[in-house]
Amino acid sequence: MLRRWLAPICLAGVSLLPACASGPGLSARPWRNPKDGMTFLRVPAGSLTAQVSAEPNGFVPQEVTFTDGFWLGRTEVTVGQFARFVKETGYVTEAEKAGNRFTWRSPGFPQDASHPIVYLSYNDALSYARWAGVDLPTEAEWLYACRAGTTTKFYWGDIVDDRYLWHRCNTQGTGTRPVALKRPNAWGLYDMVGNAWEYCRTGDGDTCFALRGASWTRCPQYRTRQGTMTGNLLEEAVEPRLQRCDPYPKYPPYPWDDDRGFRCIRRTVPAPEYLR
Amino acid sequence: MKRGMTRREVMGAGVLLAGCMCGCRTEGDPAASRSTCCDTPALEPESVTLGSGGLTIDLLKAPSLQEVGSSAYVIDKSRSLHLIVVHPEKRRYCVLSRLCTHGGQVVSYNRLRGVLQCNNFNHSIFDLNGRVLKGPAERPLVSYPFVFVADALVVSL
Repeated sequence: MLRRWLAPICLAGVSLLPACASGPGLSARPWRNPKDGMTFLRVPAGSLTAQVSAEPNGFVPQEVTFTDGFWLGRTEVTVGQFARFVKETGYVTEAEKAGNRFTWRSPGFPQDASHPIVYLSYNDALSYARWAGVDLPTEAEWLYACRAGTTTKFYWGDIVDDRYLWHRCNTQGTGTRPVALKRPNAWGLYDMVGNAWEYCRTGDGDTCFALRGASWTRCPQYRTRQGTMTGNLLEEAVEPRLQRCDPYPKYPPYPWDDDRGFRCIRRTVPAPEYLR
Repeated sequence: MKRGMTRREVMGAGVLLAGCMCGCRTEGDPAASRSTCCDTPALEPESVTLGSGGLTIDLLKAPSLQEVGSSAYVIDKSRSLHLIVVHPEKRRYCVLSRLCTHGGQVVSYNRLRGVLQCNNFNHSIFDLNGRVLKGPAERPLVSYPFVFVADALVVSL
């Protein structure tokens, strides 16, 4: 009887495999965070060559080495996981405190527990990560994990491929989709491009952040008011370029949105100071 | 004695696999990509007559606006106007500024949600009256009044 059920499940349920209960040691086995149930996958040691700002020459390439590797959430944090956090802690998001018309509870389109959480500020994402005993990745860590050892523009190749991501055209602009429906990258990470933008730490601790990976609202490309076709906007979202805090942004920062989410990281050693 | 999978087990696995594949592909197929686009077409030039008080759009000469759910843009350089014309329902049209009031980038019509959405990163959302539904834009899009004259829209600018 058991065998009868086991065979179909083994064939179809590859995603059921990475479930381990112990804390992350040096093994490459996935780690399941008991706090929120998120599965973390091992990102191996290695390096990323990224463009970093350098006066007066604009950007110069720099190699960033991850000597110990780390664990990264297999998916973006979901509505169900965030709801557990709120239930346990009574946390109120900044959009809720501000009386914003839309919040994670009502983002303006239907979501269920399997969708990525949105309408969070960077501070909300940090609060969740602290509660879960993990952290937010730095931009360099995120980019390294996203590329998963590839050298193409995206982790699947050089052109947009709908088998790997949710963007504004294939969602028809109607909202997020459940996580992990599209194909993962070579290290098993889902939705690194598309579905929800992901908050990353940048150079200045808790005060600066970057958004990476694009989202369901992002056009692959469009014609600007001048009539020129934009470059590949999805490509920009994964470009290996490390951002710096802009003390004079052109527009006031927008603190939350219907396509901003995050995923978490678990490190065995602290991130290098220059990446935090 | 070891036994291979029975035919029923193999079929069970096949059904499960097929179910997964269908569930993953439904919305991601190429047809769905074509049906919503960030790129609004230009209104056919022969359908537009620019006058001193406004513009006239001859709907019979505007195939891009014939289908319900369609939209098209027109630029009046003399007045520095970028307009988007939306045909959300039968015999209902809307004429609005096409430039987002936040950063000045173009908006496009999302027919499934019935809204105008900026194509830029922050993607402000407006209803078809121009009202802001989601920021960061704070000001509404200008909505232009018009009247039907036979098969034409006469828009006051």
